[in-house]
Amino acid sequence: MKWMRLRIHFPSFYSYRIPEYSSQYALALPLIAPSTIKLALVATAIRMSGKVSEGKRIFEYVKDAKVGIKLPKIIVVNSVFIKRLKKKKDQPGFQPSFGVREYVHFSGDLEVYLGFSKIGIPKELITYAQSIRYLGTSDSIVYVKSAEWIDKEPADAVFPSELSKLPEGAIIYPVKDFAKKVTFEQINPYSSKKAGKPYETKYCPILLSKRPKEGKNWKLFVLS
Amino acid sequence: MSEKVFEIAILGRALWELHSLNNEGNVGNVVEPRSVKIIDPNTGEAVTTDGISGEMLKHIHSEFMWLLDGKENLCDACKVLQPERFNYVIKIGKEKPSTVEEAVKKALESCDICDVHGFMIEKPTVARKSTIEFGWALGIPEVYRDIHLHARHALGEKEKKKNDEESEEIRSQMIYHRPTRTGKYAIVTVFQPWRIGLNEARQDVYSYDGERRKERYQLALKAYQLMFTRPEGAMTTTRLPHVVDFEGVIVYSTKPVPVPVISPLKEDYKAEIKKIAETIEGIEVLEFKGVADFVEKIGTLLSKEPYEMNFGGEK
Repeated sequence: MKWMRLRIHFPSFYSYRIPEYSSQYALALPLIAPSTIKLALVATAIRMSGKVSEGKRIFEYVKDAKVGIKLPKIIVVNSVFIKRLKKKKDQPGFQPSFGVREYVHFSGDLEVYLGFSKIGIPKELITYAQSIRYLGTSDSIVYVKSAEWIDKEPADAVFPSELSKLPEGAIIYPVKDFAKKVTFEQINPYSSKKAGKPYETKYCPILLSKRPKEGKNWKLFVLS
Repeated sequence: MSEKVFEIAILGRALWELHSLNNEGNVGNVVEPRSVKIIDPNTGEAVTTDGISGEMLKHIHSEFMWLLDGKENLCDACKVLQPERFNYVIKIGKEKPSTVEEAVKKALESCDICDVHGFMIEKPTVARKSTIEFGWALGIPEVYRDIHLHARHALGEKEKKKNDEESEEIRSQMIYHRPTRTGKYAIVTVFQPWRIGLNEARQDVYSYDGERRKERYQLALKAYQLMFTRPEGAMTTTRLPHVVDFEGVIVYSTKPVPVPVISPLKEDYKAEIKKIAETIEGIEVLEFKGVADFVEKIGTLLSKEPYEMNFGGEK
Protein backbone atom coordinates (compact mmCIF):
# COMPACT_ATOMS: atom_id res chain seq x y z
CA MET A 1 0.00 0.00 0.00
CA LYS A 2 1.21 3.50 -0.89
CA TRP A 3 0.71 6.23 1.74
CA MET A 4 0.22 9.97 1.42
CA ARG A 5 0.59 12.22 4.47
CA LEU A 6 -1.06 15.63 4.69
CA ARG A 7 -0.19 18.16 7.37
CA ILE A 8 -3.22 20.37 7.80
CA HIS A 9 -3.35 23.71 9.59
CA PHE A 10 -6.62 25.32 10.72
CA PRO A 11 -6.06 29.06 11.13
CA SER A 12 -9.36 29.52 12.97
CA PHE A 13 -12.23 27.30 14.06
CA TYR A 14 -13.27 24.11 12.28
CA SER A 15 -16.88 22.98 12.11
CA TYR A 16 -18.25 19.83 10.55
CA ARG A 17 -21.53 18.33 11.66
CA ILE A 18 -21.70 14.76 13.01
CA PRO A 19 -23.46 12.67 10.35
CA GLU A 20 -27.25 12.40 10.75
CA TYR A 21 -27.33 15.03 13.50
CA SER A 22 -29.82 17.86 13.19
CA SER A 23 -28.73 21.06 11.48
CA GLN A 24 -30.61 22.96 14.20
CA TYR A 25 -28.43 21.42 16.88
CA ALA A 26 -25.27 20.84 14.91
CA LEU A 27 -22.79 19.03 17.11
CA ALA A 28 -19.33 18.92 15.59
CA LEU A 29 -17.01 16.06 14.76
CA PRO A 30 -13.68 16.80 16.40
CA LEU A 31 -11.90 14.94 13.60
CA ILE A 32 -11.89 14.63 9.82
CA ALA A 33 -14.13 11.96 8.33
CA PRO A 34 -12.79 9.82 5.44
CA SER A 35 -15.52 11.04 3.08
CA THR A 36 -14.66 14.69 3.88
CA ILE A 37 -11.05 14.40 2.79
CA LYS A 38 -11.93 12.27 -0.25
CA LEU A 39 -14.63 14.71 -1.41
CA ALA A 40 -12.24 17.62 -0.86
CA LEU A 41 -9.70 15.94 -3.14
CA VAL A 42 -12.28 15.30 -5.86
CA ALA A 43 -13.70 18.84 -5.59
CA THR A 44 -10.21 20.37 -5.74
CA ALA A 45 -9.34 18.28 -8.80
CA ILE A 46 -12.45 19.60 -10.58
CA ARG A 47 -11.82 23.15 -9.43
CA MET A 48 -8.16 23.26 -10.42
CA SER A 49 -8.59 21.53 -13.78
CA GLY A 50 -12.01 22.91 -14.71
CA LYS A 51 -12.92 19.39 -15.79
CA VAL A 52 -15.54 17.25 -14.14
CA SER A 53 -13.89 14.29 -15.90
CA GLU A 54 -10.70 14.99 -13.91
CA GLY A 55 -12.68 14.78 -10.68
CA LYS A 56 -14.15 11.51 -11.87
CA ARG A 57 -10.67 10.15 -12.66
CA ILE A 58 -9.35 11.12 -9.20
CA PHE A 59 -12.48 9.70 -7.57
CA GLU A 60 -11.64 6.25 -8.97
CA TYR A 61 -8.33 6.28 -7.09
CA VAL A 62 -9.47 7.80 -3.81
CA LYS A 63 -12.86 6.13 -3.35
CA ASP A 64 -11.53 3.03 -1.58
CA ALA A 65 -8.46 4.66 0.00
CA LYS A 66 -7.86 3.90 3.65
CA VAL A 67 -7.98 7.08 5.74
CA GLY A 68 -6.24 7.53 9.06
CA ILE A 69 -5.85 10.58 11.22
CA LYS A 70 -3.43 11.78 13.87
CA LEU A 71 -5.08 14.38 16.06
CA PRO A 72 -3.26 17.06 18.06
CA LYS A 73 -2.90 16.50 21.80
CA ILE A 74 -5.64 18.92 22.93
CA ILE A 75 -9.03 19.61 21.34
CA VAL A 76 -11.59 22.18 22.43
CA VAL A 77 -15.20 22.10 21.26
CA ASN A 78 -17.22 25.32 21.60
CA SER A 79 -20.99 25.35 21.52
CA VAL A 80 -22.34 28.58 20.04
CA PHE A 81 -25.86 29.95 19.76
CA ILE A 82 -26.48 31.42 16.29
CA LYS A 83 -29.16 33.24 14.36
CA ARG A 84 -29.78 31.77 10.94
CA LEU A 85 -32.29 31.41 8.11
CA LYS A 86 -34.07 28.12 7.57
CA LYS A 87 -36.31 26.88 4.80
CA LYS A 88 -40.02 27.48 5.34
CA LYS A 89 -42.21 24.41 5.63
CA ASP A 90 -44.27 23.63 2.50
CA GLN A 91 -43.75 27.05 0.94
CA PRO A 92 -40.93 28.85 -0.83
CA GLY A 93 -38.43 31.04 0.96
CA PHE A 94 -36.58 31.13 4.25
CA GLN A 95 -37.49 32.31 7.70
CA PRO A 96 -35.39 33.65 10.59
CA SER A 97 -34.51 30.94 13.08
CA PHE A 98 -31.84 30.04 15.57
CA GLY A 99 -29.67 27.06 16.28
CA VAL A 100 -26.64 25.72 18.05
CA ARG A 101 -23.44 25.01 16.24
CA GLU A 102 -20.24 23.56 17.60
CA TYR A 103 -16.79 24.79 16.60
CA VAL A 104 -13.53 22.94 17.14
CA HIS A 105 -10.11 24.36 17.94
CA PHE A 106 -7.00 22.19 17.78
CA SER A 107 -3.78 22.68 19.73
CA GLY A 108 -1.71 22.03 16.61
CA ASP A 109 -1.72 20.73 13.08
CA LEU A 110 -3.53 17.56 12.05
CA GLU A 111 -2.02 14.75 10.09
CA VAL A 112 -4.21 12.87 7.64
CA TYR A 113 -3.03 9.67 5.97
CA LEU A 114 -4.43 8.18 2.79
CA GLY A 115 -3.50 4.63 1.88
CA PHE A 116 -3.85 3.56 -1.78
CA SER A 117 -3.87 -0.06 -2.85
CA LYS A 118 -4.27 0.73 -6.56
CA ILE A 119 -1.20 1.11 -8.73
CA GLY A 120 -0.46 4.06 -11.01
CA ILE A 121 -1.70 6.79 -8.65
CA PRO A 122 -1.71 10.08 -10.64
CA LYS A 123 1.13 12.42 -9.64
CA GLU A 124 -1.35 15.32 -9.71
CA LEU A 125 -2.91 13.95 -6.54
CA ILE A 126 -0.19 15.65 -4.47
CA THR A 127 -0.88 18.98 -6.19
CA TYR A 128 -4.60 18.67 -5.56
CA ALA A 129 -4.00 17.72 -1.93
CA GLN A 130 -1.83 20.82 -1.44
CA SER A 131 -4.54 22.98 -2.98
CA ILE A 132 -7.38 21.97 -0.64
CA ARG A 133 -8.82 25.22 0.76
CA TYR A 134 -11.49 23.95 3.12
CA LEU A 135 -12.76 20.69 4.51
CA GLY A 136 -16.51 20.38 4.61
CA THR A 137 -18.10 23.80 4.65
CA SER A 138 -16.41 26.99 3.53
CA ASP A 139 -16.10 28.42 7.03
CA SER A 140 -13.65 25.67 7.89
CA ILE A 141 -10.69 27.25 6.15
CA VAL A 142 -7.58 25.09 6.01
CA TYR A 143 -4.06 25.37 4.75
CA VAL A 144 -2.29 22.19 3.73
CA LYS A 145 1.27 22.78 4.89
CA SER A 146 2.60 19.70 3.15
CA ALA A 147 1.52 16.64 1.19
CA GLU A 148 4.06 13.90 0.66
CA TRP A 149 4.44 10.18 0.02
CA ILE A 150 5.73 8.07 2.90
CA ASP A 151 6.87 4.46 2.94
CA LYS A 152 5.30 2.92 6.02
CA GLU A 153 1.80 2.65 7.38
CA PRO A 154 1.50 5.23 10.18
CA ALA A 155 1.55 3.28 13.43
CA ASP A 156 0.16 6.10 15.58
CA ALA A 157 -2.77 7.16 13.38
CA VAL A 158 -6.39 6.35 14.23
CA PHE A 159 -8.40 4.47 11.62
CA PRO A 160 -12.20 4.21 11.59
CA SER A 161 -13.62 0.72 11.89
CA GLU A 162 -16.71 -1.26 12.81
CA LEU A 163 -18.22 -0.88 16.28
CA SER A 164 -17.26 -4.36 17.44
CA LYS A 165 -13.56 -3.74 16.80
CA LEU A 166 -13.17 -0.49 18.77
CA PRO A 167 -11.01 -0.19 21.89
CA GLU A 168 -12.69 -0.04 25.28
CA GLY A 169 -12.90 3.28 27.06
CA ALA A 170 -12.68 5.37 23.92
CA ILE A 171 -15.07 8.13 22.87
CA ILE A 172 -16.68 6.93 19.68
CA TYR A 173 -17.69 9.20 16.80
CA PRO A 174 -19.66 8.05 13.75
CA VAL A 175 -17.97 9.06 10.50
CA LYS A 176 -18.94 8.64 6.88
CA ASP A 177 -16.89 6.85 4.28
CA PHE A 178 -17.75 5.92 0.72
CA ALA A 179 -19.72 2.72 0.31
CA LYS A 180 -17.91 -0.14 -1.45
CA LYS A 181 -19.83 0.18 -4.72
CA VAL A 182 -20.11 3.96 -4.84
CA THR A 183 -20.09 5.64 -8.24
CA PHE A 184 -19.10 9.18 -9.19
CA GLU A 185 -22.69 10.01 -10.16
CA GLN A 186 -23.79 9.24 -6.61
CA ILE A 187 -21.53 11.89 -5.08
CA ASN A 188 -21.94 14.48 -7.84
CA PRO A 189 -24.40 17.09 -6.48
CA TYR A 190 -25.22 18.23 -10.04
CA SER A 191 -26.15 14.76 -11.26
CA SER A 192 -29.74 14.20 -12.32
CA LYS A 193 -29.59 10.56 -11.21
CA LYS A 194 -30.76 9.45 -7.78
CA ALA A 195 -27.89 9.26 -5.30
CA GLY A 196 -29.03 6.11 -3.50
CA LYS A 197 -26.68 5.30 -0.63
CA PRO A 198 -23.18 6.47 -1.50
CA TYR A 199 -21.93 6.44 2.11
CA GLU A 200 -21.57 3.95 4.90
CA THR A 201 -21.07 4.72 8.57
CA LYS A 202 -17.90 3.73 10.36
CA TYR A 203 -16.77 4.62 13.85
CA CYS A 204 -13.69 6.48 14.97
CA PRO A 205 -12.30 6.09 18.49
CA ILE A 206 -10.62 8.87 20.44
CA LEU A 207 -8.64 7.73 23.46
CA LEU A 208 -8.34 10.31 26.23
CA SER A 209 -5.67 10.57 28.91
CA LYS A 210 -8.21 11.88 31.42
CA ARG A 211 -11.90 12.68 31.72
CA PRO A 212 -12.98 15.57 29.48
CA LYS A 213 -13.37 18.96 31.17
CA GLU A 214 -16.61 20.78 30.54
CA GLY A 215 -17.83 24.35 30.93
CA LYS A 216 -21.07 26.10 30.17
CA ASN A 217 -20.47 26.11 26.42
CA TRP A 218 -17.27 24.14 25.89
CA LYS A 219 -15.62 20.74 26.25
CA LEU A 220 -11.90 20.04 26.43
CA PHE A 221 -10.33 16.73 25.43
CA VAL A 222 -6.76 15.75 26.21
CA LEU A 223 -5.73 12.77 24.10
CA SER A 224 -3.58 9.96 25.38
CA MET B 1 -0.32 43.78 -18.71
CA SER B 2 -0.83 44.07 -14.95
CA GLU B 3 -0.23 41.18 -12.60
CA LYS B 4 -3.06 38.69 -12.09
CA VAL B 5 -4.18 37.74 -8.60
CA PHE B 6 -5.36 34.23 -7.86
CA GLU B 7 -5.96 34.41 -4.10
CA ILE B 8 -5.53 36.95 -1.32
CA ALA B 9 -5.36 36.32 2.42
CA ILE B 10 -5.39 38.98 5.09
CA LEU B 11 -3.90 37.74 8.34
CA GLY B 12 -3.40 40.13 11.17
CA ARG B 13 -4.02 41.34 14.68
CA ALA B 14 -6.64 44.08 15.08
CA LEU B 15 -6.77 46.12 18.27
CA TRP B 16 -10.36 47.19 18.93
CA GLU B 17 -11.26 48.94 22.18
CA LEU B 18 -14.56 49.24 24.02
CA HIS B 19 -16.58 47.43 21.37
CA SER B 20 -19.36 44.89 21.48
CA LEU B 21 -19.34 43.69 17.90
CA ASN B 22 -20.74 40.23 18.50
CA ASN B 23 -22.75 38.80 21.41
CA GLU B 24 -24.12 35.47 22.46
CA GLY B 25 -27.61 36.78 23.23
CA ASN B 26 -29.77 37.96 26.13
CA VAL B 27 -30.09 36.21 29.46
CA GLY B 28 -32.77 38.18 31.27
CA ASN B 29 -31.62 41.81 31.16
CA VAL B 30 -27.98 40.91 30.53
CA VAL B 31 -26.39 40.74 27.08
CA GLU B 32 -23.74 38.05 27.16
CA PRO B 33 -20.54 38.57 25.14
CA ARG B 34 -19.34 35.80 22.85
CA SER B 35 -17.04 33.58 24.89
CA VAL B 36 -14.99 30.85 23.33
CA LYS B 37 -12.40 28.42 24.57
CA ILE B 38 -9.19 28.17 22.54
CA ILE B 39 -5.82 26.58 22.95
CA ASP B 40 -3.20 29.30 22.94
CA PRO B 41 -0.66 27.97 20.43
CA ASN B 42 2.14 29.86 22.18
CA THR B 43 1.66 28.25 25.59
CA GLY B 44 -0.41 25.14 24.82
CA GLU B 45 -2.86 26.21 27.52
CA ALA B 46 -6.64 26.21 27.11
CA VAL B 47 -7.95 29.72 27.75
CA THR B 48 -11.32 31.44 27.58
CA THR B 49 -11.34 34.43 25.30
CA ASP B 50 -13.58 36.65 23.21
CA GLY B 51 -14.80 35.68 19.75
CA ILE B 52 -16.39 37.47 16.82
CA SER B 53 -17.99 35.04 14.43
CA GLY B 54 -17.02 34.77 10.78
CA GLU B 55 -20.69 35.36 9.96
CA MET B 56 -20.51 38.78 11.64
CA LEU B 57 -17.32 39.73 9.78
CA LYS B 58 -18.79 38.56 6.47
CA HIS B 59 -21.91 40.59 7.17
CA ILE B 60 -19.79 43.72 7.80
CA HIS B 61 -17.90 43.19 4.54
CA SER B 62 -21.06 42.64 2.46
CA GLU B 63 -22.69 45.79 3.89
CA PHE B 64 -19.69 47.87 2.84
CA MET B 65 -19.84 46.31 -0.63
CA TRP B 66 -23.49 47.32 -0.80
CA LEU B 67 -22.66 50.85 0.35
CA LEU B 68 -19.96 51.25 -2.29
CA ASP B 69 -21.98 49.66 -5.08
CA GLY B 70 -23.80 51.84 -7.62
CA LYS B 71 -26.83 49.51 -7.09
CA GLU B 72 -27.40 49.08 -10.84
CA ASN B 73 -25.33 45.90 -10.61
CA LEU B 74 -27.29 44.35 -7.77
CA CYS B 75 -30.21 41.92 -7.96
CA ASP B 76 -33.60 42.97 -6.55
CA ALA B 77 -32.81 41.20 -3.26
CA CYS B 78 -29.33 42.66 -2.70
CA LYS B 79 -30.52 46.18 -3.58
CA VAL B 80 -32.45 46.12 -0.30
CA LEU B 81 -30.05 43.74 1.52
CA GLN B 82 -32.63 40.94 1.49
CA PRO B 83 -30.66 38.01 2.96
CA GLU B 84 -32.09 35.41 0.57
CA ARG B 85 -30.10 36.97 -2.28
CA PHE B 86 -30.87 35.57 -5.74
CA ASN B 87 -33.30 32.98 -4.38
CA TYR B 88 -35.66 35.88 -3.66
CA VAL B 89 -35.49 37.03 -7.30
CA ILE B 90 -36.59 33.55 -8.39
CA LYS B 91 -39.21 33.33 -5.63
CA ILE B 92 -40.98 36.49 -6.78
CA GLY B 93 -40.96 35.12 -10.35
CA LYS B 94 -38.69 37.74 -11.85
CA GLU B 95 -36.35 35.04 -13.15
CA LYS B 96 -37.35 31.49 -14.01
CA PRO B 97 -34.21 29.47 -14.69
CA SER B 98 -34.83 25.85 -15.61
CA THR B 99 -31.35 24.44 -14.97
CA VAL B 100 -28.76 24.96 -12.22
CA GLU B 101 -26.30 26.29 -14.79
CA GLU B 102 -28.76 28.90 -15.94
CA ALA B 103 -29.67 29.87 -12.37
CA VAL B 104 -26.03 30.45 -11.42
CA LYS B 105 -25.35 32.28 -14.68
CA LYS B 106 -28.23 34.70 -14.16
CA ALA B 107 -27.24 35.41 -10.56
CA LEU B 108 -23.61 36.05 -11.49
CA GLU B 109 -24.51 38.27 -14.41
CA SER B 110 -26.93 40.43 -12.48
CA CYS B 111 -25.45 40.88 -9.02
CA ASP B 112 -22.10 41.97 -7.56
CA ILE B 113 -22.91 40.76 -4.04
CA CYS B 114 -24.33 37.37 -5.09
CA ASP B 115 -21.22 36.78 -7.18
CA VAL B 116 -18.73 37.71 -4.48
CA HIS B 117 -20.54 36.56 -1.33
CA GLY B 118 -22.33 33.44 -2.60
CA PHE B 119 -25.96 32.32 -2.43
CA MET B 120 -28.33 29.36 -2.16
CA ILE B 121 -31.22 28.70 -4.52
CA GLU B 122 -34.09 26.37 -3.69
CA LYS B 123 -35.39 25.62 -7.20
CA PRO B 124 -33.45 24.48 -9.07
CA THR B 125 -31.41 23.51 -6.02
CA VAL B 126 -27.92 24.91 -6.19
CA ALA B 127 -25.49 26.65 -3.88
CA ARG B 128 -22.56 28.79 -4.85
CA LYS B 129 -19.80 29.20 -2.31
CA SER B 130 -18.64 32.65 -1.38
CA THR B 131 -15.41 33.91 -2.92
CA ILE B 132 -14.73 35.62 0.42
CA GLU B 133 -14.26 33.62 3.59
CA PHE B 134 -13.80 34.69 7.19
CA GLY B 135 -12.63 32.60 10.09
CA TRP B 136 -13.68 33.56 13.62
CA ALA B 137 -11.83 36.61 14.91
CA LEU B 138 -10.33 35.24 18.13
CA GLY B 139 -9.22 37.35 21.05
CA ILE B 140 -5.50 36.98 21.60
CA PRO B 141 -5.22 36.29 25.31
CA GLU B 142 -6.04 38.33 27.00
CA VAL B 143 -9.06 40.46 26.09
CA TYR B 144 -10.43 42.78 28.78
CA ARG B 145 -14.17 42.40 29.21
CA ASP B 146 -16.61 44.25 31.34
CA ILE B 147 -20.36 44.27 31.75
CA HIS B 148 -21.82 47.71 32.47
CA LEU B 149 -24.96 48.56 34.34
CA HIS B 150 -27.37 50.99 32.67
CA ALA B 151 -30.75 52.35 33.69
CA ARG B 152 -33.58 53.51 31.50
CA HIS B 153 -34.49 57.14 32.21
CA ALA B 154 -37.45 57.67 34.52
CA LEU B 155 -40.00 60.24 33.53
CA GLY B 156 -39.86 63.73 35.08
CA GLU B 157 -41.60 64.81 38.29
CA LYS B 158 -44.64 66.13 36.44
CA GLU B 159 -45.36 62.73 34.97
CA LYS B 160 -44.73 61.02 38.29
CA LYS B 161 -47.68 62.80 39.88
CA LYS B 162 -50.08 60.86 37.71
CA ASN B 163 -51.26 57.82 39.56
CA ASP B 164 -52.73 55.62 36.90
CA GLU B 165 -51.36 52.18 36.24
CA GLU B 166 -49.65 53.04 32.97
CA SER B 167 -47.52 55.84 34.33
CA GLU B 168 -46.63 53.67 37.32
CA GLU B 169 -45.15 51.19 34.91
CA ILE B 170 -43.24 53.87 33.02
CA ARG B 171 -41.91 55.41 36.22
CA SER B 172 -40.23 52.26 37.43
CA GLN B 173 -36.62 52.27 36.31
CA MET B 174 -35.43 49.37 34.25
CA ILE B 175 -31.83 48.33 34.66
CA TYR B 176 -29.90 46.40 32.04
CA HIS B 177 -26.37 45.19 31.45
CA ARG B 178 -24.27 45.61 28.31
CA PRO B 179 -20.77 44.25 27.62
CA THR B 180 -17.70 45.97 26.22
CA ARG B 181 -14.38 44.44 25.29
CA THR B 182 -10.88 45.68 24.60
CA GLY B 183 -8.25 43.56 23.00
CA LYS B 184 -6.32 42.25 20.06
CA TYR B 185 -8.10 39.87 17.68
CA ALA B 186 -6.56 37.35 15.31
CA ILE B 187 -8.12 37.97 11.88
CA VAL B 188 -8.21 35.37 9.11
CA THR B 189 -9.85 36.04 5.76
CA VAL B 190 -9.34 34.61 2.29
CA PHE B 191 -10.54 36.14 -0.98
CA GLN B 192 -10.47 34.12 -4.21
CA PRO B 193 -10.57 36.61 -7.12
CA TRP B 194 -10.07 33.78 -9.63
CA ARG B 195 -13.58 32.52 -8.87
CA ILE B 196 -15.33 35.84 -9.57
CA GLY B 197 -17.81 35.16 -12.36
CA LEU B 198 -17.00 31.45 -12.48
CA ASN B 199 -20.12 29.39 -13.10
CA GLU B 200 -19.37 26.44 -10.85
CA ALA B 201 -22.37 24.47 -12.02
CA ARG B 202 -20.35 24.07 -15.25
CA GLN B 203 -17.01 24.71 -13.55
CA ASP B 204 -15.11 25.71 -16.68
CA VAL B 205 -17.11 28.77 -17.78
CA TYR B 206 -16.87 32.40 -16.72
CA SER B 207 -20.28 34.04 -16.98
CA TYR B 208 -19.13 37.45 -18.24
CA ASP B 209 -16.08 39.28 -19.53
CA GLY B 210 -12.96 40.69 -17.88
CA GLU B 211 -13.90 44.29 -17.15
CA ARG B 212 -16.87 43.38 -14.95
CA ARG B 213 -14.71 40.86 -13.10
CA LYS B 214 -12.15 43.54 -12.34
CA GLU B 215 -14.82 45.95 -11.11
CA ARG B 216 -16.14 43.34 -8.68
CA TYR B 217 -12.62 42.49 -7.57
CA GLN B 218 -11.99 46.18 -6.81
CA LEU B 219 -15.31 46.53 -5.02
CA ALA B 220 -14.44 43.62 -2.70
CA LEU B 221 -11.00 45.08 -1.94
CA LYS B 222 -12.42 48.53 -1.18
CA ALA B 223 -14.92 46.94 1.21
CA TYR B 224 -11.96 45.31 3.01
CA GLN B 225 -10.34 48.75 3.37
CA LEU B 226 -13.48 50.14 4.98
CA MET B 227 -14.28 47.24 7.27
CA PHE B 228 -10.94 47.45 9.05
CA THR B 229 -11.11 51.24 9.12
CA ARG B 230 -14.57 51.32 10.65
CA PRO B 231 -15.97 47.94 11.71
CA GLU B 232 -19.78 48.04 11.83
CA GLY B 233 -21.21 45.16 13.80
CA ALA B 234 -23.59 44.75 16.71
CA MET B 235 -24.26 47.60 19.15
CA THR B 236 -22.33 50.21 17.17
CA THR B 237 -24.99 52.83 17.94
CA THR B 238 -23.58 53.00 21.46
CA ARG B 239 -20.39 50.95 21.30
CA LEU B 240 -18.73 51.96 18.08
CA PRO B 241 -15.30 50.32 18.31
CA HIS B 242 -12.26 52.48 18.95
CA VAL B 243 -10.10 51.29 16.08
CA VAL B 244 -6.57 51.54 17.43
CA ASP B 245 -4.37 49.29 15.36
CA PHE B 246 -4.24 46.63 12.69
CA GLU B 247 -0.98 44.95 11.81
CA GLY B 248 -0.16 41.83 9.89
CA VAL B 249 0.36 40.54 6.36
CA ILE B 250 -1.51 40.53 3.06
CA VAL B 251 -0.52 37.41 1.16
CA TYR B 252 -1.42 36.97 -2.48
CA SER B 253 -0.64 34.48 -5.19
CA THR B 254 -0.06 35.32 -8.83
CA LYS B 255 -0.21 31.69 -9.93
CA PRO B 256 -2.86 29.06 -9.16
CA VAL B 257 -1.44 28.11 -5.77
CA PRO B 258 -3.25 28.53 -2.46
CA VAL B 259 -1.94 31.31 -0.25
CA PRO B 260 -0.65 30.22 3.16
CA VAL B 261 -3.08 30.98 5.98
CA ILE B 262 -1.39 30.57 9.34
CA SER B 263 -3.25 31.61 12.46
CA PRO B 264 -2.26 35.05 13.81
CA LEU B 265 -2.82 33.58 17.26
CA LYS B 266 0.73 32.30 16.81
CA GLU B 267 3.30 34.89 17.74
CA ASP B 268 5.56 33.89 14.85
CA TYR B 269 2.84 33.69 12.18
CA LYS B 270 4.43 36.36 9.98
CA ALA B 271 7.83 34.65 9.96
CA GLU B 272 6.22 31.31 9.06
CA ILE B 273 4.23 32.85 6.20
CA LYS B 274 7.30 34.63 4.85
CA LYS B 275 9.26 31.39 4.97
CA ILE B 276 6.53 29.56 3.02
CA ALA B 277 6.39 32.42 0.50
CA GLU B 278 10.13 32.14 -0.07
CA THR B 279 9.87 28.47 -0.94
CA ILE B 280 6.76 28.54 -3.16
CA GLU B 281 6.86 30.38 -6.45
CA GLY B 282 4.14 32.93 -7.11
CA ILE B 283 3.38 33.97 -3.51
CA GLU B 284 3.91 37.58 -2.44
CA VAL B 285 3.74 39.02 1.07
CA LEU B 286 2.92 42.63 1.94
CA GLU B 287 3.47 43.47 5.58
CA PHE B 288 1.38 46.29 7.09
CA LYS B 289 1.78 48.20 10.33
CA GLY B 290 -1.27 50.21 11.25
CA VAL B 291 -4.68 50.82 9.68
CA ALA B 292 -3.47 53.50 7.24
CA ASP B 293 -0.69 51.24 6.03
CA PHE B 294 -3.20 48.40 5.56
CA VAL B 295 -5.45 50.64 3.44
CA GLU B 296 -2.48 51.70 1.35
CA LYS B 297 -1.20 48.14 0.85
CA ILE B 298 -4.66 46.90 -0.20
CA GLY B 299 -4.72 49.89 -2.56
CA THR B 300 -1.68 48.51 -4.38
CA LEU B 301 -3.72 45.42 -5.27
CA LEU B 302 -6.52 47.47 -6.86
CA SER B 303 -4.58 47.98 -10.09
CA LYS B 304 -4.05 44.25 -10.54
CA GLU B 305 -6.39 41.86 -12.40
CA PRO B 306 -8.39 38.91 -11.06
CA TYR B 307 -6.83 35.68 -12.29
CA GLU B 308 -8.70 33.84 -15.02
CA MET B 309 -8.17 30.11 -15.32
CA ASN B 310 -7.68 28.83 -18.83
CA PHE B 311 -9.53 25.56 -18.48
CA GLY B 312 -9.48 24.54 -22.09
CA GLY B 313 -12.74 22.64 -21.78
CA GLU B 314 -13.46 18.94 -21.57
CA LYS B 315 -11.64 16.71 -24.07
